[in-house]
Order: sequence, then C-alpha cells, then structure tokens
Amino acid sequence: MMKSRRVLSSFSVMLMLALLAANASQALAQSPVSVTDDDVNRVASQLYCPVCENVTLDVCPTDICARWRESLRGKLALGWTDQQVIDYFVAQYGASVSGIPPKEGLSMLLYGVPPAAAVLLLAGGFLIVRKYKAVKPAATSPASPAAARSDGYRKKLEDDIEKELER
Amino acid sequence: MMPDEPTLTKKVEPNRLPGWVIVLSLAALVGFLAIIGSSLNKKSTPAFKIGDPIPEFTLTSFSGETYNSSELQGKVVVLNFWASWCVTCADEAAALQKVWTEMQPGGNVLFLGIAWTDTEVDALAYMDRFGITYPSGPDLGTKVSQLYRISGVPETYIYDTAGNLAAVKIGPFESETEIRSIIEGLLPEG
Repeated sequence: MMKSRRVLSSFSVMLMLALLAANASQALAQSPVSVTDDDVNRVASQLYCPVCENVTLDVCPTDICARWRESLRGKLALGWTDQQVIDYFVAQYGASVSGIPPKEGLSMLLYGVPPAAAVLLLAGGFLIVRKYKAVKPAATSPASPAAARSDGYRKKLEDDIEKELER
Repeated sequence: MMPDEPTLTKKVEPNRLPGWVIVLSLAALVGFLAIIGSSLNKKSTPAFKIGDPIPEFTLTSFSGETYNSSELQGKVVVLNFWASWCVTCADEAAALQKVWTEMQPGGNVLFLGIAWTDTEVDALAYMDRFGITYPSGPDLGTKVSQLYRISGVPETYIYDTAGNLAAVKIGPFESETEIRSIIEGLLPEG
C-alpha cells in the first residue's frame, strides 16, 4: 500500500514536470525575441539609406528606409545577431549599404593609401625635425668661430664709437 | 682698414625637403585627383550607349527561374528597373503589364523586371497589386543596377533581337503606345 502510494506520488511529480516543460517550450516557441526600438536603431545606425547619400538608416525619413527598418526588426525578432543582419543587407543590397568599402578593385586603395600617406607624413616630419635640429645650433651657438669673430668686431666698433663721443 | 671684417648678416639657407619627397608627394596628389576625377566622370556618364551589346548578368526571378543575359538573343528584351516604394514606377506598371500581355503570345519579346533595393515582401505585394506576370527578380547585391549605373528608378533598357541596346528610357513611360511603338520598331517584319 505504502509502496503504491510512493509510486503514485513520484508519477504525479513527473507528470507535473513534463507538463511544465511542455508549457515552457510552447511559450518560447510562441513568443519571438523581443526587439526594442533601441535594438533596431543600434543596427540601423550601421547601415546606410540606398537612395539618399550619407544618411544612416536610423535617421533616414524615406519610405524605403522605414521598410528596411521593419525588415531589420523582423530579422532581429527571429534571433539574428547584428552581424547576421548586416551581412544579409550587404548580400541583398550591396556593400554600399554597410558604409564599409569592399576589399576589391579600386576600393583597395582606400585601405592602402591612408597608411602609406601616414608613413610618408611621419617620414617627412622626421626629416624636417632632424634638419632643423641640425641647423639651429650652428646658427645660434656663441662658441662658433664666426660668432666669436662677430662679437669681437662689435666690441671694437662700440669702443671706437665711445672714443669718438668722448672727444 | 679693418682686418678680416666679418659680415653682420648671415645668409640663411632655406630648409628644403629632399627632392624625392616633393616628387613623391606631387605624384601621390596627382594620382589621387586622377582617381577622383575618373570616378566622378564614370558616375556622370551612362554605362551603355545605343548599339552596345547586352552585358553579362544573371537574374533569378521571385518565382525561381534564372535568366542569363547571354541567352536572350533572338528576342526583343525589355529590361525594367523598378521598386515598390517608387511612385513613378507605379505610373508605368499597368502599361508595361498591358503591353506584355499583348506581346507575350508572339514569343518574340521578353520583359524582365529588376526590383532595386526592395524587400521581397514589398516587391511581391507590388507585383500583386498591378497584376504583373512578366518575370521579375531582386537585384541581389545591386550588381545589375551597378553594371548599368542607373541613376534611379524607373529606368528601362530595350535590346533588339541581335542583343544590342536599341532604346533607353530614364523615368516612366508616358503611355502604352510609347512602349508598344518602340518594341514594334524592333520586331522583325511579317
């Protein structure tokens, strides 16, 4: 009697757990990932309007942007990551929507020229600084023979003027 | 007479960058300006002129059929770029469909719609709204529109049966008659 009651109670606990699990999974399946406007804007700010230049999707007022934002919201609601959504838009609408130039063709220059220009500027700056450093001491050093000669001449000139004035 | 008179003024040598730095900088500047100029020039000129052959591209329609441009010779091809959000595209949509309905049975004409920067849901709703039955597909990655360097939608490119560009319409067609007259002028007589 005791044994059958124990079996019955453990069976009812298992049944309850199974029901709870089924309920939870059903609830998960029914409710998609909640997506806020901030979520949409976070991704939209990384994408550009296809018809208006240099306007990001989050602030773009056109009809097409509104549709794209809705499409974006739908993807996020399905659980897509930000990068998956961006990759989808690039595949659908081209690299220009991401604002990141593709690493092919002439666009490669955009990746190569700035670092090369920076290196050239640094090298140029270094050369100029080195040149100034080399020139300055020679021009101002009182210890240089030319400067010493000049000081001697100046003193002689001042003495001569003083003598003339005393007369 | 003053012995060994030094001068009071000192001739200052101008600080100059090495020649190779100047030459390299100028070359870089000229190259940069040339690239910008070429890019602007490319943008402002149409990609194709009348008589040019149809370029190589592939379009997969919303219903899953694939069209390769190199296999379209022998038919008059009407390539229409459109978008569901485009107001002026809606102005010509019914006219295009009407002419397609008339000319499709002859088998000498093919209309291809290319949905530009559109979502599939909106594009299909638009096609449904105007009863569009000619093949239309998304311009994936905007590859075809970049190839044609379209300036907007609608834009239509009409090819003759030899596969050469015969007419270009920037903006919407005024009427069915306009579309029909261009196509009829390209069809073989008889």
